[in-house]
Amino acid sequence: MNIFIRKQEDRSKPNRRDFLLQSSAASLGLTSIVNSISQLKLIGSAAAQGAGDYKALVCFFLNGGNDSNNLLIPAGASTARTAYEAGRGATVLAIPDASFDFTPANAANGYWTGSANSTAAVSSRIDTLNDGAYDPSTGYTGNNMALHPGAYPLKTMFADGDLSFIANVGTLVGAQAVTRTNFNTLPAAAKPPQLFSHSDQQVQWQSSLPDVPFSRGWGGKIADLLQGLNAGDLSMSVSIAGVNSFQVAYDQPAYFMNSSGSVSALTGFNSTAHPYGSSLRNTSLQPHYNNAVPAPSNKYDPLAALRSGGDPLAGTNYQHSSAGWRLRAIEQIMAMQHASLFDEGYNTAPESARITEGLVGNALAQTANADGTSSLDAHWNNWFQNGLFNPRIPDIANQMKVVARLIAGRSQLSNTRQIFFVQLGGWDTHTTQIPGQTTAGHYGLVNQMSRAIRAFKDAMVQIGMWNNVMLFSASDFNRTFTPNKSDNSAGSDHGWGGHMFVAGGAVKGGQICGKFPNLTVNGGIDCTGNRGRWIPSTSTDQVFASISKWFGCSDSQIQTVLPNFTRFQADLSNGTLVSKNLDFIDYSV
Amino acid sequence: MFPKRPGPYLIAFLLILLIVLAVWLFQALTSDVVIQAVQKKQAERPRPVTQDPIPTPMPTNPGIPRLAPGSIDPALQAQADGLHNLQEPPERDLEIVADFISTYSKGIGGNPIGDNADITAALTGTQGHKGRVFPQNHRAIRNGQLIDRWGTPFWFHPNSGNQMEIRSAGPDKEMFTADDLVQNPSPSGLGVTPQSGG
Repeated sequence: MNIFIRKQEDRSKPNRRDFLLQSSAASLGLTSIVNSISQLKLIGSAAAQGAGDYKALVCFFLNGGNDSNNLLIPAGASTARTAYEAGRGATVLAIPDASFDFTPANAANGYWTGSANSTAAVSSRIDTLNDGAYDPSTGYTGNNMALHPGAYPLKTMFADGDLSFIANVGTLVGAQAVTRTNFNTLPAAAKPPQLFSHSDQQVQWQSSLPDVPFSRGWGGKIADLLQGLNAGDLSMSVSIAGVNSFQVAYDQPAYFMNSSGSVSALTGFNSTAHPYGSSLRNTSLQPHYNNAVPAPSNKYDPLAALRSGGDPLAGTNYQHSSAGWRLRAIEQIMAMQHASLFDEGYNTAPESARITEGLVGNALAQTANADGTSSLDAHWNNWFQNGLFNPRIPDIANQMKVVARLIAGRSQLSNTRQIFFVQLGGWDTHTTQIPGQTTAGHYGLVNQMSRAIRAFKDAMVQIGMWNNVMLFSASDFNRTFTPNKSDNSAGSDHGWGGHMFVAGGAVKGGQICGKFPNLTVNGGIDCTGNRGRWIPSTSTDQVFASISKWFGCSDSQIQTVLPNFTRFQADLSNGTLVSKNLDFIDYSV
Repeated sequence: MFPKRPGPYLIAFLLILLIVLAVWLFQALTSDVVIQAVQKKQAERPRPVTQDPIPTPMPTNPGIPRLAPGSIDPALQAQADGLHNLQEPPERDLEIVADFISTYSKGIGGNPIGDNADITAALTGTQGHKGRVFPQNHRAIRNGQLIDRWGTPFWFHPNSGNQMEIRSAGPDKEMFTADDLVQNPSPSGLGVTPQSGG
């Protein structure tokens, strides 16, 4: 460099140019070292997070818009209860106060006590640990609150300190305060677009970014950011309920499963009774195709198979059967080389699916019994007695069971972070919301949901993972407080802010967080009209930021996941969380 | 006689010359004589004559009549008049209502939100809503709600920002019964009605 073209030959006396060059070089070197040290710190911190600190996040989505006005309910004698009965219609949508103390009518409706089913009297009334902190005005609820009778299993979790509610949460933009007065005149950009519309509000709940066109879900963003914590080939995101916005990501597309407890294989194959390897004639290749072989040698790898002594694509390697022909065809398609990058990229999808299929099969095998049942089934059988629902274990319960089994089999997946998505549909109760049965209408949905979640908790406790799991509920929106008819065929229509809950070992349970709505219809926080559609007092961002932090996101990563968060809350410091009544996670767990 | 490297001497000479020039220019521009001469010159210069612009009349287009306050575009009015036309099948009413919602959406940038009363207010431009595509005093509006030809309010169910189920209770005036008429039925899975719920 310049140092070699200088005139002065005596290098023992550096001139000004030498000084500048050398000090710059030194500073560059120093910068690199400092950078390296800081990177090492990051790597160390990442490694520390990833080593043995498995965390699973479960999004329990209530598709259709849960009437959470009838999930967390004012009880006893209070101003809130009076407003509740007046608004909901005492004989239309209101849950009678006497219903909170009940005796299950028969053995099928009974509850698991930990050792047996019981039909003894129970109560869904709750005692909150943060009395009054959630009241919109002093003494409004009188600390007399109850859960829907069908949510008794959730009440047991609330009482055990494993579950808390967050009241009146909803999508908000945050650029300008929304009030009943300005609701109809605010610029469109100041409100979440298409309020009260199913798909729009679902997407907004699952992205928590209502003022920007959808690109990724907030779960997908987390998966993209924290993918370095996972060593396995399975995506951080697994959906047991199909495509959703929550898990849409750039780098970590969700892996989709069904609730049957087995991986979806090619028609005619499955991981246990008829694995792929059984369609091969060359037995030396079978380990590469059978899911039972431990990772990573179970991965689809035609070249490895080729090296082990045979051409996996040779016709003679496959059984002369329709299954063998199908397998050969799909293997040939996957082994094709493409000139186009797009084609190559497209080809990685089925290849990736074959790889993860084997991994997931191995994970599920950890809890699989020889007869096709699971070692965790007992918990769901306890909470879904024979004769209650038909089929006995509803789909949502099976979805939760698959999540539990994947967590139990996590060692096979080599991932320290998983994000699961499950969904229960049918909450759009515009008509006959209360049909008078515990297994139909809104009651039936609450009943299924609560039992499935309680069984999940028991399963997690059994395998010692309850502290490593956080489940949160979400739904399109709350429903109108007032009924749409005056008889027992009434339902409710689309609302806005509603109550959600979070559950897990790290949850500071037994609380109602946020602010319970003032139940005044045609005034107060009823956004417009006279139906009781509450303007949310807590944004989805605020809740999801706390959850993101628990999952391992740094403050800057939370800004990426939830860019609007600071419009509602300065930070996640304990002081701020307490002042907002949103202190629902114990980060030390 | 001359130094071997004249460069530094040349640069020093040019710097001195520049400083001398700058000092001279500063003194010249701040002298009273020069300032008075400039002021005198400016005072003698004639001012430009300003004239008020001649107002240009707004172009008139005889093809676009001015609308009376509270009225709507005649084409939309004609479409609204087609509602409850007993010469047309009742399904036509739902199509017309869907067309009005579509027109509103194109103008405002999204479907109106809320239930019947909210949507009616939006279409008629009342309660602070912008734009008006439906006449406020139409016979199909009763108690602030759009009604079907049997007198029952339509049921609006926003599935997405651009897809809305519109339901008429039909002749029996009971919603969610077999004789209901439905435009853009909702997808299954939400559990909208026992019939379509999943």
